[in-house]
Amino acid sequence: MHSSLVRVQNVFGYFTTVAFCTAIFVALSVLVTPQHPSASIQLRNVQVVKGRPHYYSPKKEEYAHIKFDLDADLSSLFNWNTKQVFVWITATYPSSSPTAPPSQAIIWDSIINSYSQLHPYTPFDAWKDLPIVGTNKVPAKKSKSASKKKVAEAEAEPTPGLVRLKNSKPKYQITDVTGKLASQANVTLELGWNVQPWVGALTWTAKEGQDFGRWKGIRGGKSEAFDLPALKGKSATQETVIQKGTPKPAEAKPVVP
Amino acid sequence: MEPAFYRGDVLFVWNRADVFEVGEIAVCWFKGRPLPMVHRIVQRMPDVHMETWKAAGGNESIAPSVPAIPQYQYLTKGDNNDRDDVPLYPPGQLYVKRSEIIGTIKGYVPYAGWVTILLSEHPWLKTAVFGAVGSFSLLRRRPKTTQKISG
Repeated sequence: MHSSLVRVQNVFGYFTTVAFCTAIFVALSVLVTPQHPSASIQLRNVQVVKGRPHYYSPKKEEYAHIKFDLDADLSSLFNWNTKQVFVWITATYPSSSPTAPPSQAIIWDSIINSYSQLHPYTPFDAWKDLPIVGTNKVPAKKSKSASKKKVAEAEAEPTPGLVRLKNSKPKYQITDVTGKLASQANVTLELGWNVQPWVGALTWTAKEGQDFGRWKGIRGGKSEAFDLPALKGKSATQETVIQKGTPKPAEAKPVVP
Repeated sequence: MEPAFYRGDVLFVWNRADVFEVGEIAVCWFKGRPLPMVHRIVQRMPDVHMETWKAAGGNESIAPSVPAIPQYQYLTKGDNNDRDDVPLYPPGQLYVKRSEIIGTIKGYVPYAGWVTILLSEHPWLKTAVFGAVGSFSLLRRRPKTTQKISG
Protein backbone atom coordinates (compact mmCIF):
# COMPACT_ATOMS: atom_id res chain seq x y z
CA MET A 1 0.00 0.00 0.00
CA HIS A 2 1.61 3.24 -1.03
CA SER A 3 -1.18 5.76 -0.69
CA SER A 4 -0.41 9.08 0.99
CA LEU A 5 -2.68 8.29 3.90
CA VAL A 6 -0.79 5.11 4.69
CA ARG A 7 2.51 6.95 4.49
CA VAL A 8 1.26 9.65 6.81
CA GLN A 9 -0.03 7.03 9.22
CA ASN A 10 3.28 5.19 9.24
CA VAL A 11 5.30 8.34 9.81
CA PHE A 12 3.01 9.53 12.58
CA GLY A 13 3.04 6.14 14.27
CA TYR A 14 6.82 6.04 14.13
CA PHE A 15 6.99 9.56 15.53
CA THR A 16 4.84 8.74 18.54
CA THR A 17 6.79 5.56 19.26
CA VAL A 18 10.13 7.39 19.12
CA ALA A 19 8.80 10.28 21.22
CA PHE A 20 7.48 7.91 23.86
CA CYS A 21 10.70 5.88 24.02
CA THR A 22 12.79 9.06 24.27
CA ALA A 23 10.60 10.29 27.11
CA ILE A 24 11.03 7.01 29.02
CA PHE A 25 14.79 7.05 28.43
CA VAL A 26 15.13 10.66 29.61
CA ALA A 27 12.97 10.01 32.66
CA LEU A 28 15.03 6.98 33.73
CA SER A 29 18.44 8.38 32.81
CA VAL A 30 18.41 10.88 35.71
CA LEU A 31 19.25 8.04 38.10
CA VAL A 32 22.76 8.04 36.62
CA THR A 33 23.75 11.53 37.84
CA PRO A 34 24.83 11.79 41.50
CA GLN A 35 23.11 14.22 43.85
CA HIS A 36 24.59 15.67 47.04
CA PRO A 37 22.44 18.47 48.43
CA SER A 38 23.41 20.28 51.62
CA ALA A 39 21.91 23.10 53.63
CA SER A 40 22.04 24.85 56.96
CA ILE A 41 19.17 26.74 58.55
CA GLN A 42 19.46 28.95 61.59
CA LEU A 43 16.82 30.82 63.47
CA ARG A 44 17.37 34.59 63.71
CA ASN A 45 14.26 36.02 65.31
CA VAL A 46 10.81 34.87 66.32
CA GLN A 47 7.83 36.91 67.51
CA VAL A 48 4.38 35.83 68.55
CA VAL A 49 1.70 38.40 67.79
CA LYS A 50 -2.07 38.46 68.08
CA GLY A 51 -3.75 39.77 64.99
CA ARG A 52 -5.17 38.78 61.64
CA PRO A 53 -2.51 36.85 59.70
CA HIS A 54 -4.74 36.52 56.62
CA TYR A 55 -7.13 39.01 55.09
CA TYR A 56 -9.90 36.43 55.40
CA SER A 57 -9.31 35.66 59.09
CA PRO A 58 -12.69 36.06 60.81
CA LYS A 59 -11.17 37.03 64.12
CA LYS A 60 -7.86 37.79 65.75
CA GLU A 61 -5.59 34.84 66.36
CA GLU A 62 -2.06 34.28 67.55
CA TYR A 63 0.57 33.79 64.92
CA ALA A 64 4.35 33.50 64.90
CA HIS A 65 6.70 35.43 62.63
CA ILE A 66 9.97 33.52 62.20
CA LYS A 67 13.06 35.08 60.61
CA PHE A 68 15.88 32.78 59.56
CA ASP A 69 19.24 32.32 57.83
CA LEU A 70 19.42 29.81 54.99
CA ASP A 71 22.51 28.57 53.20
CA ALA A 72 21.73 25.77 50.74
CA ASP A 73 23.56 24.09 47.88
CA LEU A 74 21.01 22.37 45.68
CA SER A 75 22.94 22.72 42.43
CA SER A 76 23.45 18.94 42.12
CA LEU A 77 19.67 18.52 41.83
CA PHE A 78 19.79 20.19 38.40
CA ASN A 79 20.35 17.73 35.55
CA TRP A 80 19.22 17.63 31.92
CA ASN A 81 15.73 16.57 32.93
CA THR A 82 15.16 19.26 35.56
CA LYS A 83 12.60 21.87 34.64
CA GLN A 84 12.50 23.66 37.96
CA VAL A 85 13.05 23.04 41.65
CA PHE A 86 10.54 24.25 44.19
CA VAL A 87 12.23 24.75 47.56
CA TRP A 88 10.59 25.59 50.90
CA ILE A 89 11.17 25.73 54.66
CA THR A 90 8.69 23.93 56.93
CA ALA A 91 8.16 24.78 60.58
CA THR A 92 7.00 21.79 62.67
CA TYR A 93 5.49 22.62 66.03
CA PRO A 94 3.20 20.88 68.52
CA SER A 95 -0.49 21.73 68.46
CA SER A 96 -2.37 23.23 71.38
CA SER A 97 -3.83 19.90 72.40
CA PRO A 98 -1.23 17.34 73.53
CA THR A 99 -3.25 14.50 71.99
CA ALA A 100 -3.27 16.13 68.57
CA PRO A 101 -0.39 15.43 66.17
CA PRO A 102 2.12 18.24 65.50
CA SER A 103 1.25 20.97 63.01
CA GLN A 104 3.39 21.76 59.98
CA ALA A 105 3.41 24.93 57.92
CA ILE A 106 5.61 26.32 55.18
CA ILE A 107 7.05 29.68 56.19
CA TRP A 108 9.04 30.42 53.03
CA ASP A 109 9.19 29.01 49.51
CA SER A 110 10.76 29.82 46.16
CA ILE A 111 10.72 28.59 42.56
CA ILE A 112 14.22 28.00 41.12
CA ASN A 113 14.07 27.87 37.32
CA SER A 114 16.57 25.78 35.40
CA TYR A 115 18.70 27.13 32.57
CA SER A 116 16.75 25.12 29.99
CA GLN A 117 13.49 26.57 31.27
CA LEU A 118 14.67 30.17 30.99
CA HIS A 119 16.38 29.64 27.63
CA PRO A 120 14.21 27.18 25.73
CA TYR A 121 15.64 26.09 22.40
CA THR A 122 13.63 27.05 19.34
CA PRO A 123 14.48 26.07 15.77
CA PHE A 124 14.69 29.81 14.94
CA ASP A 125 17.85 30.15 17.02
CA ALA A 126 19.92 28.87 14.10
CA TRP A 127 18.31 31.27 11.66
CA LYS A 128 19.57 34.38 13.38
CA ASP A 129 23.01 34.12 11.76
CA LEU A 130 21.76 33.65 8.22
CA PRO A 131 21.75 36.56 5.75
CA ILE A 132 18.43 38.33 5.42
CA VAL A 133 16.73 37.16 2.22
CA GLY A 134 16.08 39.80 -0.42
CA THR A 135 18.69 42.27 0.76
CA ASN A 136 22.42 42.49 0.90
CA LYS A 137 22.32 42.88 4.60
CA VAL A 138 23.98 40.38 6.83
CA PRO A 139 23.31 40.30 10.57
CA ALA A 140 26.11 42.11 12.34
CA LYS A 141 28.81 39.73 13.40
CA LYS A 142 29.51 39.87 17.08
CA SER A 143 32.90 41.44 17.63
CA LYS A 144 35.43 39.37 19.52
CA SER A 145 35.43 41.66 22.51
CA ALA A 146 31.64 41.57 22.75
CA SER A 147 31.57 37.77 22.59
CA LYS A 148 34.29 37.55 25.20
CA LYS A 149 32.23 39.80 27.45
CA LYS A 150 29.23 37.55 26.95
CA VAL A 151 31.25 34.50 27.90
CA ALA A 152 32.46 36.25 31.01
CA GLU A 153 28.89 37.22 31.86
CA ALA A 154 27.67 33.68 31.40
CA GLU A 155 30.37 32.34 33.66
CA ALA A 156 29.55 34.94 36.27
CA GLU A 157 25.91 33.79 36.28
CA PRO A 158 25.23 32.09 39.56
CA THR A 159 24.67 28.35 39.38
CA PRO A 160 21.00 27.59 39.89
CA GLY A 161 20.43 25.93 43.21
CA LEU A 162 22.66 28.04 45.46
CA VAL A 163 20.43 29.82 47.95
CA ARG A 164 21.82 32.22 50.49
CA LEU A 165 19.47 34.22 52.69
CA LYS A 166 20.47 36.28 55.70
CA ASN A 167 17.90 37.25 58.32
CA SER A 168 15.18 36.70 55.78
CA LYS A 169 11.58 37.61 56.52
CA PRO A 170 9.23 34.68 56.16
CA LYS A 171 6.59 34.70 53.45
CA TYR A 172 3.94 33.12 55.63
CA GLN A 173 3.14 33.04 59.32
CA ILE A 174 2.37 30.00 61.40
CA THR A 175 -0.88 29.66 63.30
CA ASP A 176 -2.73 27.01 65.25
CA VAL A 177 -6.18 25.63 64.40
CA THR A 178 -7.57 26.81 67.72
CA GLY A 179 -6.18 30.34 67.29
CA LYS A 180 -3.82 30.03 70.22
CA LEU A 181 -0.25 28.94 69.72
CA ALA A 182 1.03 26.59 72.38
CA SER A 183 3.62 28.56 74.30
CA GLN A 184 7.05 27.06 74.94
CA ALA A 185 6.44 24.94 71.86
CA ASN A 186 9.27 22.86 70.44
CA VAL A 187 9.67 24.25 66.92
CA THR A 188 12.06 23.03 64.21
CA LEU A 189 12.71 24.44 60.74
CA GLU A 190 13.42 22.02 57.93
CA LEU A 191 14.34 22.49 54.28
CA GLY A 192 12.34 20.63 51.64
CA TRP A 193 12.35 20.56 47.86
CA ASN A 194 10.46 19.15 44.91
CA VAL A 195 12.26 18.61 41.62
CA GLN A 196 9.88 19.01 38.69
CA PRO A 197 11.28 17.28 35.59
CA TRP A 198 10.63 17.89 31.95
CA VAL A 199 9.17 14.39 31.80
CA GLY A 200 8.85 11.60 34.33
CA ALA A 201 8.65 11.20 38.08
CA LEU A 202 8.67 14.08 40.54
CA THR A 203 11.18 13.71 43.36
CA TRP A 204 10.99 15.15 46.85
CA THR A 205 13.28 15.82 49.77
CA ALA A 206 15.75 13.07 50.55
CA LYS A 207 16.22 13.18 54.31
CA GLU A 208 19.63 12.77 55.92
CA GLY A 209 20.75 9.18 55.51
CA GLN A 210 18.06 8.35 52.93
CA ASP A 211 20.40 7.50 50.06
CA PHE A 212 19.02 6.13 46.81
CA GLY A 213 21.85 4.79 44.67
CA ARG A 214 23.88 7.81 43.55
CA TRP A 215 21.45 10.24 45.15
CA LYS A 216 22.59 11.11 48.65
CA GLY A 217 20.27 12.41 51.33
CA ILE A 218 20.60 16.04 52.34
CA ARG A 219 23.46 16.98 54.64
CA GLY A 220 22.07 19.29 57.31
CA GLY A 221 18.86 21.05 56.39
CA LYS A 222 17.36 21.04 59.88
CA SER A 223 17.61 23.81 62.42
CA GLU A 224 18.02 23.41 66.16
CA ALA A 225 14.75 23.17 68.07
CA PHE A 226 13.66 26.47 69.59
CA ASP A 227 10.83 27.68 71.75
CA LEU A 228 8.17 30.17 70.85
CA PRO A 229 8.26 33.20 73.11
CA ALA A 230 5.14 34.28 74.95
CA LEU A 231 2.67 36.61 73.28
CA LYS A 232 4.23 39.98 72.50
CA GLY A 233 3.01 42.49 75.07
CA LYS A 234 2.93 46.28 74.83
CA SER A 235 6.40 46.61 76.32
CA ALA A 236 7.89 44.39 73.58
CA THR A 237 9.96 42.51 76.11
CA GLN A 238 9.21 38.98 75.02
CA GLU A 239 11.12 38.21 71.90
CA THR A 240 13.71 35.64 71.01
CA VAL A 241 16.52 37.34 69.15
CA ILE A 242 19.38 35.24 67.89
CA GLN A 243 22.57 37.08 67.05
CA LYS A 244 24.58 35.40 64.36
CA GLY A 245 26.84 32.72 65.77
CA THR A 246 25.27 32.45 69.21
CA PRO A 247 22.09 30.41 69.15
CA LYS A 248 20.81 31.50 72.56
CA PRO A 249 17.59 33.37 73.24
CA ALA A 250 18.20 36.97 74.26
CA GLU A 251 16.27 38.72 76.98
CA ALA A 252 14.44 42.05 77.14
CA LYS A 253 16.00 43.51 74.01
CA PRO A 254 14.20 45.12 71.10
CA VAL A 255 14.70 43.61 67.65
CA VAL A 256 18.17 44.24 66.31
CA PRO A 257 18.28 43.82 62.51
CA MET B 1 0.69 25.14 38.96
CA GLU B 2 2.46 27.00 36.21
CA PRO B 3 5.30 27.11 35.36
CA ALA B 4 5.56 23.49 36.51
CA PHE B 5 2.40 22.03 34.95
CA TYR B 6 0.38 23.43 32.11
CA ARG B 7 -2.99 22.62 30.65
CA GLY B 8 -2.63 19.48 28.56
CA ASP B 9 -0.07 17.70 30.75
CA VAL B 10 -1.02 14.20 31.89
CA LEU B 11 -0.51 13.81 35.67
CA PHE B 12 -0.08 10.49 37.45
CA VAL B 13 -1.97 10.49 40.74
CA TRP B 14 -1.51 8.18 43.78
CA ASN B 15 -4.29 7.94 46.33
CA ARG B 16 -3.22 5.16 48.68
CA ALA B 17 -1.63 7.27 51.40
CA ASP B 18 -3.61 7.98 54.58
CA VAL B 19 -1.50 10.98 55.39
CA PHE B 20 0.19 13.51 53.11
CA GLU B 21 3.36 15.48 53.69
CA VAL B 22 3.70 19.21 53.35
CA GLY B 23 5.09 19.95 49.89
CA GLU B 24 3.18 17.25 48.06
CA ILE B 25 0.98 18.33 45.16
CA ALA B 26 -2.61 17.38 45.96
CA VAL B 27 -5.58 17.06 43.63
CA CYS B 28 -8.58 18.51 45.48
CA TRP B 29 -12.08 17.93 44.21
CA PHE B 30 -14.85 19.59 46.16
CA LYS B 31 -18.42 18.36 45.95
CA GLY B 32 -20.36 20.03 43.18
CA ARG B 33 -17.34 21.38 41.34
CA PRO B 34 -16.92 20.34 37.68
CA LEU B 35 -13.11 20.12 37.86
CA PRO B 36 -10.50 19.36 40.52
CA MET B 37 -7.79 21.75 41.65
CA VAL B 38 -4.11 20.78 41.53
CA HIS B 39 -2.14 22.74 44.15
CA ARG B 40 0.63 22.19 46.65
CA ILE B 41 -0.02 21.38 50.32
CA VAL B 42 1.53 24.20 52.35
CA GLN B 43 0.09 23.46 55.79
CA ARG B 44 -0.89 20.34 57.68
CA MET B 45 -2.99 20.90 60.79
CA PRO B 46 -4.63 18.36 63.09
CA ASP B 47 -8.24 17.74 62.21
CA VAL B 48 -10.06 17.60 65.49
CA HIS B 49 -13.71 18.15 65.92
CA MET B 50 -13.58 21.87 66.56
CA GLU B 51 -16.89 22.18 68.39
CA THR B 52 -16.21 19.65 71.13
CA TRP B 53 -12.66 20.79 71.51
CA LYS B 54 -13.45 24.47 71.83
CA ALA B 55 -16.36 23.81 74.14
CA ALA B 56 -14.00 21.92 76.38
CA GLY B 57 -11.70 24.97 76.34
CA GLY B 58 -9.02 22.86 74.75
CA ASN B 59 -8.94 20.76 77.88
CA GLU B 60 -6.92 17.66 77.20
CA SER B 61 -8.92 15.43 79.54
CA ILE B 62 -12.04 15.92 77.45
CA ALA B 63 -10.20 15.85 74.11
CA PRO B 64 -11.28 13.16 71.66
CA SER B 65 -9.33 9.93 71.88
CA VAL B 66 -6.25 9.68 69.70
CA PRO B 67 -6.97 7.64 66.57
CA ALA B 68 -4.32 5.23 65.28
CA ILE B 69 -3.84 7.21 62.06
CA PRO B 70 -3.37 10.92 62.80
CA GLN B 71 -6.20 12.95 61.31
CA TYR B 72 -5.05 16.01 59.43
CA GLN B 73 -6.57 18.81 57.46
CA TYR B 74 -4.57 20.60 54.79
CA LEU B 75 -4.15 24.06 53.34
CA THR B 76 -3.17 24.32 49.68
CA LYS B 77 -1.61 27.07 47.57
CA GLY B 78 -0.55 27.36 43.98
CA ASP B 79 3.24 27.75 43.64
CA ASN B 80 2.98 30.90 41.59
CA ASN B 81 0.14 32.49 43.57
CA ASP B 82 0.76 35.12 46.21
CA ARG B 83 -1.97 33.89 48.52
CA ASP B 84 -3.25 30.54 49.62
CA ASP B 85 -6.35 28.84 48.27
CA VAL B 86 -8.95 29.74 50.90
CA PRO B 87 -10.86 32.00 48.43
CA LEU B 88 -11.13 28.99 46.11
CA TYR B 89 -12.58 26.66 48.74
CA PRO B 90 -16.34 26.37 49.34
CA PRO B 91 -17.42 29.38 51.40
CA GLY B 92 -16.70 29.08 55.10
CA GLN B 93 -14.10 26.36 54.65
CA LEU B 94 -10.53 27.12 55.73
CA TYR B 95 -8.90 23.72 55.19
CA VAL B 96 -9.19 20.69 52.94
CA LYS B 97 -10.02 17.29 54.43
CA ARG B 98 -8.38 14.03 53.42
CA SER B 99 -11.64 12.85 51.87
CA GLU B 100 -11.69 15.84 49.52
CA ILE B 101 -8.23 15.04 48.17
CA ILE B 102 -8.27 12.38 45.46
CA GLY B 103 -4.52 11.83 45.48
CA THR B 104 -1.13 13.44 45.00
CA ILE B 105 0.95 13.84 41.86
CA LYS B 106 3.83 11.41 41.46
CA GLY B 107 4.85 11.97 37.84
CA TYR B 108 3.73 13.52 34.61
CA VAL B 109 4.01 13.55 30.84
CA PRO B 110 3.84 16.96 29.13
CA TYR B 111 1.47 17.76 26.22
CA ALA B 112 0.06 14.22 26.08
CA GLY B 113 -3.42 15.34 27.07
CA TRP B 114 -4.03 17.83 24.27
CA VAL B 115 -5.68 15.31 21.94
CA THR B 116 -8.37 14.54 24.52
CA ILE B 117 -8.85 18.22 25.39
CA LEU B 118 -9.24 19.29 21.77
CA LEU B 119 -11.71 16.53 21.01
CA SER B 120 -13.88 17.19 24.05
CA GLU B 121 -13.88 20.99 23.75
CA HIS B 122 -14.57 21.10 20.03
CA PRO B 123 -17.22 18.46 19.22
CA TRP B 124 -17.06 19.40 15.56
CA LEU B 125 -13.50 18.02 15.55
CA LYS B 126 -14.86 14.61 16.48
CA THR B 127 -17.28 14.75 13.55
CA ALA B 128 -14.54 15.98 11.22
CA VAL B 129 -12.10 13.21 12.21
CA PHE B 130 -14.81 10.59 11.94
CA GLY B 131 -15.83 11.93 8.56
CA ALA B 132 -12.25 12.03 7.30
CA VAL B 133 -11.54 8.45 8.37
CA GLY B 134 -14.82 7.28 6.87
CA SER B 135 -14.30 9.04 3.54
CA PHE B 136 -10.70 7.80 3.28
CA SER B 137 -11.82 4.23 3.75
CA LEU B 138 -14.64 4.58 1.22
CA LEU B 139 -12.62 6.41 -1.42
CA ARG B 140 -9.41 4.39 -1.25
CA ARG B 141 -8.17 2.44 -4.20
CA ARG B 142 -8.96 -1.22 -4.08
CA PRO B 143 -6.80 -3.66 -6.07
CA LYS B 144 -8.65 -4.97 -9.10
CA THR B 145 -9.34 -8.66 -9.07
CA THR B 146 -8.80 -10.24 -12.49
CA GLN B 147 -9.63 -13.80 -13.45
CA LYS B 148 -7.28 -15.60 -15.76
CA ILE B 149 -9.10 -17.76 -18.16
CA SER B 150 -7.04 -20.82 -18.95
CA GLY B 151 -8.07 -23.09 -21.44
